Amino acid sequence: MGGDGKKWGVFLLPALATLSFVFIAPICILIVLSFYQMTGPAVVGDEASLSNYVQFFSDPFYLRILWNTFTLGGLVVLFCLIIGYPVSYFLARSNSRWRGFLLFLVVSPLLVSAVVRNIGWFPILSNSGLVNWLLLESSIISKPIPLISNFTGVIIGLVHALLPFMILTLTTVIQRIEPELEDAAASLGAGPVTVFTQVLLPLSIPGAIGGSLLVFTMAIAAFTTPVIMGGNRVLVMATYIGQQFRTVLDYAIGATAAAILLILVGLLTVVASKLGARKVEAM
Amino acid sequence: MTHLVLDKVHKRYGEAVAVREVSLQLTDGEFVTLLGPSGCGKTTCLRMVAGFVKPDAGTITIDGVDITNKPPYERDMGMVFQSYALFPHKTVAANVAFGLKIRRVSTAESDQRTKEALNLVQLEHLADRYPSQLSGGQRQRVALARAVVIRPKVLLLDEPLGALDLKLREELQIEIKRVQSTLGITTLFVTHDQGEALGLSDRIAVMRDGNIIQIDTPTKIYERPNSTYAANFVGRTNLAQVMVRKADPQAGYLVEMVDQPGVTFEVAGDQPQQFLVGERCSLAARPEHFDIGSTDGNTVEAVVTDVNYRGSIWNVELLAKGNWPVSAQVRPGGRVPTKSETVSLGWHPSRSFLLKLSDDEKI
Repeated sequence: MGGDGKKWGVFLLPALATLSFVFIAPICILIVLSFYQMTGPAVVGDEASLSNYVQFFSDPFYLRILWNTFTLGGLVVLFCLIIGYPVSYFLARSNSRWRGFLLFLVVSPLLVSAVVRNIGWFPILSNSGLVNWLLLESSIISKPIPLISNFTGVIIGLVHALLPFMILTLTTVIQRIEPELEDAAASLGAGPVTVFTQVLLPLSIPGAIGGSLLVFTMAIAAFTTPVIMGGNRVLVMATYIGQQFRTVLDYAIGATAAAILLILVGLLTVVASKLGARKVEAM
Repeated sequence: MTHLVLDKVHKRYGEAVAVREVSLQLTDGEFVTLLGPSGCGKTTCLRMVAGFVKPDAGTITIDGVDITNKPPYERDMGMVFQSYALFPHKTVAANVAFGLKIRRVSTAESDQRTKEALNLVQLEHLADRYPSQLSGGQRQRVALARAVVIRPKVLLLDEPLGALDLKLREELQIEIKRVQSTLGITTLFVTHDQGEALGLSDRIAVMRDGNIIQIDTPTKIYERPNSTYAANFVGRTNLAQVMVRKADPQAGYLVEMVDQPGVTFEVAGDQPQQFLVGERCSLAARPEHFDIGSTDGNTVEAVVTDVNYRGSIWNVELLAKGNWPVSAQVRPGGRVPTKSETVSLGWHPSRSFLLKLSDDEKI
């Protein structure tokens, strides 16, 4: 096998070369950049230090962006879990002939470009949009609720975009839970709520952690949706990094923010997979 | 005191009828088996009693209380599944205590009853293990303990031995019977295995195409099945087409082989059905009821076509007069015939029985 492995390994070279050029090299350069100071637009000096990091973690402005980012990620995960779980349960358990169609509906947001997907929300969520019109007409509210071009809009846009990932992950996990476990619990006297809290939920946790991690990392890395749905008013890490590189041309602090985001997401992934692994082991 | 009654219970899936107006009564402490091949409706019956399937018509009552429309979690049934269905994230003790926790039994009592239940299935020493650390047989014993610890009105067993190998199956059969009779719990058992049905049941209901075609004690089902179907499903049966020549309520019947006129046999003892003189029917006898070389009772000349050693017995395949293929047995100590030998095949008149021809046999 070893000899054969080496022989076939040759075929990996093009992919490895491409990946190291387009993926590993830029990240390395970015991390190196974060240790230098800005000396002019798009230019950095030649003295390496940790001062960018010190500045980032001591300035409330940056900490606020970091907080916003993680709150956004957390809320998107929460809504994806709440909305996604019942759908996943149906998809995992149903033999209905509509199952295939529903699966297509679930995946369909992924087939639409992010720009189109987000712009589509404007006629629905804007102050004169469908939702506010309905609420005003039925006199539930007296003045429009701002649902777009703010933090709420970003959450709606990201939940819409990332829900498929949560649903697909959860569906696979729920499919692996034997339906007879639910029957067994019911025969022992467990009503639907108890079956959910005592059997389904604990057994879904590894999947929920996996799906949440996926959605969380994608939510905090998203750029297009916060820009469009946030109407330039929502500053999260991704939009801040974009600003630094494209408008302010402060490569150094932009690189620092990017490096911090990278490290925090990396740490989170390690912690979450450890947590998931421990849960699985216990079973 | 539990009395379970199914009254004309009917279930359709689309066009296909799964259960056809089945009526069944279980008295207190009785062990009743639904026996039949897959697709005969036996599992649907059990799942309707458990509450997982709603019947289209008919009623199910326990001690006179109609439970037809009650959800499963209000029925007080202990159920054991073929796939064990143990909660993988809970320990053995927590699995057994699950039903008690839901019933809000105090911790002290719950611990005590869990211990007793595990003791009953001899698994007390494994209380802290997880199901994945147990063997198949141990898992099913935990499932049994979990089902009986809640003191259910009825114990439902859905092919509980189906996933186990032969040796474990026999061990667990004894275990189930022991637990069931110790607790005196009314039990409905579903299986396609005639051996399990004969060994465990007080009564067996043989099912076919959604109907119960015969319900009786294991000995009656085995010795006097009322149809070719039941006779073939439970044990091996040798069938020969015969014509009734004499019918006497006291002495029994005299029948003549259709393919060998002049060869007649006597049939004595109770018959599940009435037969008329001149009626064509099947003469049936079990392999172990033949006596090779005997000249008592009914006899027919036969040629040995094959002899197989089976450990506890020899299986002897013969071709009797009138092209009647017969499989017979010789016990250790008996004379084992050799292949191609012509022998006299004898059996006692009360050891054979008559069966009505099924529709496809009449042609």
